[in-house]
Amino acid sequence: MQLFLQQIINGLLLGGMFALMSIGLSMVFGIMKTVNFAYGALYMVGGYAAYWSAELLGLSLLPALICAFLIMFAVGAVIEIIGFGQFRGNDDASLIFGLGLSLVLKGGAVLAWGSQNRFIGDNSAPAIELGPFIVPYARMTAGIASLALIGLIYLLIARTGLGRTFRAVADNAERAQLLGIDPRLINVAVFGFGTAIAAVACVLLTPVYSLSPAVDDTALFTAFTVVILGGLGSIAGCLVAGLILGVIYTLSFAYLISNVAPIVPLLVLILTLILRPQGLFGQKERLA
Amino acid sequence: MLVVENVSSRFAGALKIDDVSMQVGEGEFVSILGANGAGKTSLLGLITGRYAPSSGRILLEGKEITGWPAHRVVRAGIALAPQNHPIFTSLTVDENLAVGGTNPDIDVFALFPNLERYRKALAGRLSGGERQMLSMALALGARPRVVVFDEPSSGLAPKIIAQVFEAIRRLADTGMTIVMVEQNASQALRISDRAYVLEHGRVVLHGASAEISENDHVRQAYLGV
Repeated sequence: MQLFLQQIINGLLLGGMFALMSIGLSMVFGIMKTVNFAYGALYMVGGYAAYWSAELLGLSLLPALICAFLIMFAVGAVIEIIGFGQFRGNDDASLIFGLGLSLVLKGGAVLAWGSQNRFIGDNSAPAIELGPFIVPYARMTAGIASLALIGLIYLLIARTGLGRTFRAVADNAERAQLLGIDPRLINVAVFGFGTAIAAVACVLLTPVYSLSPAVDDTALFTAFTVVILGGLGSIAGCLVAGLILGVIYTLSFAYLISNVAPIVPLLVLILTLILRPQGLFGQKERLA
Repeated sequence: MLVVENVSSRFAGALKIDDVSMQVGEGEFVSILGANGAGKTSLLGLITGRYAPSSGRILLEGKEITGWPAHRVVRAGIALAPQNHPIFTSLTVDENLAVGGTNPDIDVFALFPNLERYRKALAGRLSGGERQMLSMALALGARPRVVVFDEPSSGLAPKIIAQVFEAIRRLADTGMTIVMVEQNASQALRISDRAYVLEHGRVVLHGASAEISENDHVRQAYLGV
């Protein structure tokens, strides 16, 4: 029983990280209806933005994270203006642009920074004992920070005027434009914010997973799995799906043969898509 | 206030608006009548920036706004309540109104009392008539100098249509400049000051609503008399 509860705790912390990793992708799809295949690569570049801010400017984790947020917001805004924004309404072109950008960023990262693993922040802190349970410090701080950030993002979207505008554009961009809202400006803001959130996720998760150009595949795959399971465009869906996948993932590794365990979350995803194709919190019309 | 000068526009290669000119004075209530496919909604689309004309000019208070995107046209002072009353269905009524903006000159709940009890409800749960009222309230929230209603009675029950036209007439009485496209010609002519009749994308008749309603062609083609 103790092993089971230990895995549940590990799974919830991991799930919080999965959810944060996915929220930027979900926002961009939900509001802009853009499927961003460069998301994993932008997540990885965001991590390097923090890493080099820390290395070159001698910053600690939090200032480096803020630097990465600002840099990647600008990068995302520029990509939306000169890239995705030019292909709006042409899904094929948008998809190919995203894949191409992903390859360029990953190749560029290998050339510029090599393929070795790097760490941001302190990953050597000891595990913390919580009664009978043991939680690695890095995993606990990353999991809790992820959940807190998701809460903040939810409040931004649900309770502020800017969030209301985001939701209005997501609901009916043409009607929003007829009320004086420039959807292109909103798209730039959302894409910038989504990219910056990806960077924050990468920085928070780097003490757990390390940073290398290869993390883009893991991030893209995880984010898509969470977003599809949770329902495209739903922040609540991201959180719930992230937690479910995190728990399934850790339980699978604890109780199944290690070769079989990675398949289990995918089986859950496939089963969900068969029974509820729009995902747990998705709306049917979004699939049209 | 609003001047449309020799505007033409093609949609999918076909000439839908053909050399249309019209003028709307400050505080005037002008209706645009015509059969299905006459180009009424296309003309409103050109005025409100949803489409750019092929030729001609559109001016608001002497300032040319031809080809401006819709959000700029709204900021310039023309707001549209589109056909089929689109609203933000996943937002509450209050949130919808907040997105549209607040117009201190108009109490939307006095104008549309039905909306008051649904303020905290999701707009997607409103009936067709209530959605129409909310859509009109959204347009008014943008503090327009000219408000444009596209088929406000479309798809509504007769009792609701009467409420909608009553609200529009009350707005006109406050001095607001109104342009309205409407298939219900008799009602439109009853409440508007002047009217334009469009056929095949051209203005075939215009004048005071009272005169237009006495025109033999209009009586036969649009009033069923």
